[in-house]
Amino acid sequence: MFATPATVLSAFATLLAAMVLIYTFGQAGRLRAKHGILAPAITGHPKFERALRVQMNTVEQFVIFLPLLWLATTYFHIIGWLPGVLGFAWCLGRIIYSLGYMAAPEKRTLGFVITAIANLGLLILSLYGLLATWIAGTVL
Amino acid sequence: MLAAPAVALSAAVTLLAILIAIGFAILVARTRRATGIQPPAMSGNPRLERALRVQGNTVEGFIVFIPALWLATLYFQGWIPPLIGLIWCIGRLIFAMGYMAAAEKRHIGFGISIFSVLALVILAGIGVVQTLMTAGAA
Repeated sequence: MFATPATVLSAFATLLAAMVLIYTFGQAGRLRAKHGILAPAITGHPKFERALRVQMNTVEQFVIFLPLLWLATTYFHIIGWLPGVLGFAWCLGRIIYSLGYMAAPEKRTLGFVITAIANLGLLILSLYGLLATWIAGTVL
Repeated sequence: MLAAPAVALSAAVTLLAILIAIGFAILVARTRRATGIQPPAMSGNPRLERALRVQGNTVEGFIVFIPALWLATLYFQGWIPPLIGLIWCIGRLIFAMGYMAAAEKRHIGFGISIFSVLALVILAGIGVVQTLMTAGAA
């Protein structure tokens, strides 16, 4: 089952999401060094504070996104590639979120909304897929 | 195997846990609006700070809970892992309600969650060791 096209697509989306996450770590680390803010301090320069919020918010989103992506990939089969595509949309949303937030805090909304919609889509697919599996009688 | 009853139950519990995590993120957003404290500020009002800690602590708990739940589900098997997962979710709700009422009322919910995760880790450990021993014997 791990070699089906839909599963491989979700695997690629997972890798891309991990790379986006690593990018946000790098960004916060770079700005920490640039502005001479020594750990464990988490304040001291607006640009660093924004980078840290980008990183933390992406971690928070990631822990929801990853199970949702794989629940949807595992249980929703009607349009096999849809979970993977939503996974790529999530990654795109996170990049836009980071670029926006780093430009100005009030510009973070668009990217956040794209990510939220991708997560919501995956949540609906997961729910639907799980219920369909249940009703199909393969469960209980 | 992913359509087995116990596995589908763990999938349902995973969705419930995700809904709770989203609920806590909404709690933070609402408290930010009520207190007028805009990001990236993370302090300035006790209620917002409690909401942020409820959310932050749940994210921290989440990254241990999800792998533990699924390792226990796949290797220990049966309905006990999803049942403990459900208890974790209830613990998180009690934690949030307690913490938002007063910081010192967070302990019961926290305790329920931490013992649930501990139980899942033990079940996962038993399951993995059994699988390894069976694989070694074969």
